[in-house]
Amino acid sequence: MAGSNLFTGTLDLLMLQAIKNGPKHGYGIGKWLAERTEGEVDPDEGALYSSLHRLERKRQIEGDWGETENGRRARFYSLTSKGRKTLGKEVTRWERHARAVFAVLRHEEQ
Amino acid sequence: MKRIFRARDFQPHADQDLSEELQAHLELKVDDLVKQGIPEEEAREVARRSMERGQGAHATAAPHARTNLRRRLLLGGVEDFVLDLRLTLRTFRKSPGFWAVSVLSLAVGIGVNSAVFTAIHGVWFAPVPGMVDQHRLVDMVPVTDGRDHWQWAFPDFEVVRDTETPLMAISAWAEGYATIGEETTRSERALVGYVTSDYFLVHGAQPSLGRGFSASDDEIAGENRVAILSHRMWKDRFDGLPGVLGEFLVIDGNAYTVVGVAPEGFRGARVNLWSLDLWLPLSEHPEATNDGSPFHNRTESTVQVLGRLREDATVSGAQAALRTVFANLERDFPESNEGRTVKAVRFGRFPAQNRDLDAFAVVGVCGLFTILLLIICGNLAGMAMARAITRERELGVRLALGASRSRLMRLLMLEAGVLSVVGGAVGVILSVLVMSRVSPMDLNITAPGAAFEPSGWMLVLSLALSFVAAMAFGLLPAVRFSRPELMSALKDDSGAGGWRVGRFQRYASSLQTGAAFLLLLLGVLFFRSLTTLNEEEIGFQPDGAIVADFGTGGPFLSFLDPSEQGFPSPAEGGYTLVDRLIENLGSVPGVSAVALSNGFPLDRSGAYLSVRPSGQAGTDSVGVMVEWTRATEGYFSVIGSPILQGRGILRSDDLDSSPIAVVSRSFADRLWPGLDPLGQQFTQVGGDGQRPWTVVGVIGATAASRATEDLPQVYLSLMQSTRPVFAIVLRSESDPSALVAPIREAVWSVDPSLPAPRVMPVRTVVGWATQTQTSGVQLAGGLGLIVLLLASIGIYGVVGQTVAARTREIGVRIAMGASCGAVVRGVVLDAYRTVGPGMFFGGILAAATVGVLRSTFLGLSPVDVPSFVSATGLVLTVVALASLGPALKGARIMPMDALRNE
Repeated sequence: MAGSNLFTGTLDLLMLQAIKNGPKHGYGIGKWLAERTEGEVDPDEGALYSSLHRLERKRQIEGDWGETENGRRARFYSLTSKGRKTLGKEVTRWERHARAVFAVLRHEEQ
Repeated sequence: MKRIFRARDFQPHADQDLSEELQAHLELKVDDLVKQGIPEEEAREVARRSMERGQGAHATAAPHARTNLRRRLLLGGVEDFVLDLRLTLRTFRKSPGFWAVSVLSLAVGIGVNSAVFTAIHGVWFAPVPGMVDQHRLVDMVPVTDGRDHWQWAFPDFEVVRDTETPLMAISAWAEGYATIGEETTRSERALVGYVTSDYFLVHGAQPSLGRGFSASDDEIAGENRVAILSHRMWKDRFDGLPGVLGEFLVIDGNAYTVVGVAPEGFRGARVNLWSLDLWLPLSEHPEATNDGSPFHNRTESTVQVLGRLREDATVSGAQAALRTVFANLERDFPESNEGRTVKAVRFGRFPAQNRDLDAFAVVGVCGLFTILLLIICGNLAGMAMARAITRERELGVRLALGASRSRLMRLLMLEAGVLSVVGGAVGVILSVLVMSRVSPMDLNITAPGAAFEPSGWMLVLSLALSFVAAMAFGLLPAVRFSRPELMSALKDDSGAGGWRVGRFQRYASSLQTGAAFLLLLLGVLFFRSLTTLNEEEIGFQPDGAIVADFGTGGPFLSFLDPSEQGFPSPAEGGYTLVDRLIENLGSVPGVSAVALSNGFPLDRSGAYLSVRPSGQAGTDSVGVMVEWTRATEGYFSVIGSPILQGRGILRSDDLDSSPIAVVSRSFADRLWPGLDPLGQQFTQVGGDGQRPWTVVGVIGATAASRATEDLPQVYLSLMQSTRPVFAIVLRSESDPSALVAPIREAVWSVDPSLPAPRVMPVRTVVGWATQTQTSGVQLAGGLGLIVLLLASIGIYGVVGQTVAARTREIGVRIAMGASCGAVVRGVVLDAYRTVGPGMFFGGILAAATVGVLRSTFLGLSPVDVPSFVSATGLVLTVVALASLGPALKGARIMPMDALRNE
């Protein structure tokens, strides 16, 4: 629901993080994000699949058909080496960015 | 490759893919909800609603999905291709010899062809330099009773010029030599175009400086003496200075004002042996103003003509209009124009009169070299077939493992493709390397502005040829062996012998060997003709003989006509010039003999005369055709031909004494068989009233002026000519280049207005005369060796494959006690049987060719035994060598191995 509030590009970063430790299908990624952010980030299907296929076009992830644990056919996405590099860079950038933002916010609180 | 094409309709696939993915998402969500205890139907409803909320999921994601799918498919195609390529390269590595030979022979074929393309383009199709809009130019050829003429009668030209036709303009010109320069300055001979005023307009030659001729320039001789220089002459004589306009130039003793300089490279439209050096108005032609000027005569052909079409006109329209004009001329002047009409042909580098013949020659040359490439293709196809036989099991295994037939075929074609690309590239590079070192002049092609430059045109044609070649030699094995008979291939049938190594390759090798034999035979025959020419038959000693003529370039001698230079003729007592030239030249250090003559053996400038013995009028009215040369005392010492009988020509044989002649042995034998020729007299047939010539001396056989003729020779005294023309001939052991300056000094010390002589060894002149034979030897011999090389590769392949295919049979024979020698003999004899028919027909063709060429090549016999023996020996040796390797391999076959396996 909060997808529309996200900074542009942030969703892509979160998606990459979601499959950092192993391939997930689209539904799984959405669910993982929702659980991790306690529902704060729960992209609708349109945003989710646009993001996935956009990332695939940028060659940061690649999708392949496979089987889920309960025997359903689904498309699983995994990080490419390029995706892994992008993720690392983006995380660093985000950390710096967030530190800067917090520094300002905390200063105002005092 | 197919998959790439299929990727075109990726859209439905991509959409379907995405739909499936979204469907899976829905199912997973339902599963989850059900797991949380929600009844399935309700869960399905919730999931669907949530999907709808995320409406447009499909629409937003679809474009990305399509791009991704397209890329996946393309990548798949490329991956397959890369894999195939890698496989191909691996097979190259596995048999490097086979591929090296294939690439090399293909490179030779493509290289030779692209060199020929370059040459033909440079000479034939490249535009004539300095002329614009050449497609609007028309050649007009007068035709009398079906015969083409080179020149027009000037009055005919005038009528056409003054008639309204589809021609925008028409111009006429005549060519002639003139001496440029004043007495005090360096003078030179130049080829002058005497032209009508529209000449530069018609040619589309925009002067690079000044102007062209105007109508008023051509009106009255001597009124407006103006000249236009060629770009070259402007650079050479006036250092390319713009101040040349308005300068005076002395031409044949008259001063002309330079009014223009022709565009760079423009030396006239024609591919002549000479290029024009400058242009004067036609009214300045030495013969233009005479009362009986040939330019006013309807029966004299005096000028060449070129026309330029109007923008909207066609060649056929021009021809129709011209024919009407000529029909009127025929009606008005029946006595001169009877049967004369005209044909109009689009302008080309080569004269319209000969164009069919020239085109035939070009097509012939192209055809010859394309045949070479065909041979190579046949060869490669044979080799590829042979290889495919040994690879049959590999291919069978691939097929059994599930490779599709199209995949196998693609693999085989790819091998051919890679081969042709590499071979073609090497060939083109070779041809560019070679052709950049050769100029048209080296090949005796004197087309103005012709150059051998690689062109895009050549590149495209060569690549197309490579591609066609790949198709030609790749397709057959690909079709045949992409469907190996699976079971027999896997059953290890190879080496069992059979039809497969056989007919096609055998015919191919036989054909090649025959072609090689034909070409080698021709080469050897030409060479024999050339060597006989150089040794005994020419009858003079070219080494040490030097000619100084008055030519300006081009492979012909040019002679000086002193009366043109204003010297008194001998009839007026003007022997001084001749005497003083001989005297001054004789004192040049190192010169042992000197003479003046109007010809030299093999100089290709012969004059002919029909003579008969005096006092036999009527008995032999046809007479004997002889070639005659006028010379001064000392001529025979210079050419090195001893007097066999009587005396040579003397200084005292002048106009005051009775005419004498020195004749060749063959002449004496023809006219007075069995009699003493000395003192005999002969006259010109039809020359009644002339004083007869008395024979005073006899020399041996000397070569005629042309290498292809064998005529009786007559030598007359130069001093007994009323209008002598001559070049200088002398004998010296010095280096000719060291004699250039002393000879010029000697000539100019007689009279500084004489043009500078061109000094060269007689060997050069002989080289010109024997150019045809020399090129024949080089072309046929070179081509023959190349084809023999290719043929030997083919034979090696055939014999090798035969041995491989007969492994089991040979093994059995050895097991039965056949000796090593017997096996080798059997294999080599088999090779001879293969090439035998080809050689037989090659030999017959060579004899037939020589029979046809006999009139052109002196001393060439169609059944020259040494030539046949040497060519046959060479070919048989090469065939034996080519088959020896495989034969020895066959002889070493271990019977047990052969029976157990291949």
